[in-house]
This record gives sequence, C-alpha cells and structure tokens, in this order.
Amino acid sequence: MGKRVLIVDDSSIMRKMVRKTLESQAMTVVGEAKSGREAIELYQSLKPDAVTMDITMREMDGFTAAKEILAIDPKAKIVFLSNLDEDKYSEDAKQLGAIGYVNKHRSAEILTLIEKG
Amino acid sequence: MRSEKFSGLRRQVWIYFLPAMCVILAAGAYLIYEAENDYLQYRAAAAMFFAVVSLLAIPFLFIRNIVAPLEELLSVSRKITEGYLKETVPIRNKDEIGKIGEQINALSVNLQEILLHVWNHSRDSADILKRISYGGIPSDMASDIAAVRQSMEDMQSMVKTFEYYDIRMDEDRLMAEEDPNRREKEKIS
Repeated sequence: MGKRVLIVDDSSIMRKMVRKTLESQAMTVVGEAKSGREAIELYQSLKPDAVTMDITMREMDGFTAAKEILAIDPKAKIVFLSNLDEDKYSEDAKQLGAIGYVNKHRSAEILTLIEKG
Repeated sequence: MRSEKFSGLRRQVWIYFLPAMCVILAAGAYLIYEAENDYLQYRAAAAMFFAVVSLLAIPFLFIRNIVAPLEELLSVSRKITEGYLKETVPIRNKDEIGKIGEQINALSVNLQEILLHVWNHSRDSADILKRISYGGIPSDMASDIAAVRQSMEDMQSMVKTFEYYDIRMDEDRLMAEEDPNRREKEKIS
C-alpha cells in the first residue's frame, strides 16, 4: 500500500501540485493543512507516514511546526518543500530532524525521500 | 477632491438615511401636534425620541461593521495589486467580508507562489544557458541562446518588482525575511 502523506502549504495551487505528484506514484494524501498550527492538529489526528512541509506560512512557519510535531512524535518523517535557498536551509532542516529538503521547483524529488523515509 | 470619509458607501448611507429620518421626524411632529391630551402628547414625544435614537444607531453600526471593513479590504487589496504581497487582510470576523478577506489573502499567497516558481526556474535556466555559452557554441546558435537568456533575465526582473511575504531576495537567493530558526532559538533562549 502507498504511503499516507499530509501536505502542509499555505498556497492552494502548491497543495494541488504536490497532491498530483504524490498521487502519480500511488501515494495517498490523507490531509492538507494551510498553516503550521493546522499541521500539528492534523498530524495528531491523522498520523500520516510522512509530511511535506512548506517553510514560510502566515500562521505558523514550517520550522516551528516541524519542531512541535517531532516533539510529539520523534519518528515523524518530515520533508521540507520550500522556495527558499536550498544551500542555506537544507542543513537547518536536517539538524531539526527532517528527512530532507526539496526546492519547490524540483518537487518530484519528494517522492524518493518519502519512499526511502 | 471629495474627502474619503464622505465618499462611496459612507455617502450613500447618509443619502438614504437622512430623508428617512426627515419623514420620521415629520410624522412624529404631526402625531405630537394632533395628540388629544398632554398624556398622549408625552407618549408620542417619548416614542419619537426612542425611534430617532434607534434610527441614528443604524447608520453608525452599518458604517462600523460593514463600510469600515470594506474600506480596509479595499486598501489592502490595492496594495497587493501594486505588488506588495507582504500585505495581508486582517480577518476580524467570519462573515462574508471576512471570507472575501480570506480569499484575497489566498490569491496573494498563490500569486507569490507562482512568481517564486518563475524565479527559481528562470534562474536555473539562465545559469544553464550561461554554462552552455562558456562551453563554446556555434555562431548560428549564439544569438538564439542570448535571446533566451535575455528572456530569463526579463522574467527575473519582473519577479523582483514585487515585495514578498516573509521572503527577501539576497542577490539571486531567496531567504526568509525573519529566519524561522533564529526566531525559534530566540524563543528558547
């Protein structure tokens, strides 16, 4: 059975794109969150196998949300998916305990990370 | 130029309200005048007083709850239209005006996403074309490659004219305006 994934992004267009990418590889999108705060709530109720997490979001940013999710479940598999500079932020993402960092314009790379995760 | 305070909906509220108020005052005055005794006159005056006070509350409440939020919506959407995507409509209520505000914010988020997508792709493509150019290209292709590079750079210039929510451009790198990690560290310390 395909992995169950939670998409976290404040842009509806991006959520749609990520959903399409994941579903093309038979993964199941169990939920979509528009902010970090919503992501924490949905993570606890849906218990997904993986989370794709944007960084800049209006209510709560992705780094803060990931930190809280990892505090609740240290085994959480989080992939950051952002427009921010990869060189600078991929290291921060790894230090936080995420399984990876993917730039949004190469979003198909999340598939390999989630599959390996 | 007409003052903003008395233009548009605000002006219309008063245009509709004042004639209605005049009619009520005239009807009240007629009732007081026609009252058969002091007691009825007193009751008619009291009724008119409460009617006027209640009526006066309507335009003020309408302006405070509907016109003012709409003006705020207009002001923020105007800024977003001008390219200030860091602006957001404050959502104070869950009513229709609040929902329009949420939709404007969602549109702004999507526009930012599309522009940053264009930025990342055009930057990568421009870099690739630069590398191809350094590698030496046949002279008949040189002008085409230069034209494509120019298109990429034009796209980047267009994207640069906007101001983004929580994102700044450090040369060609996209950085968080407020470094989320730094914010976290500050919160902990």
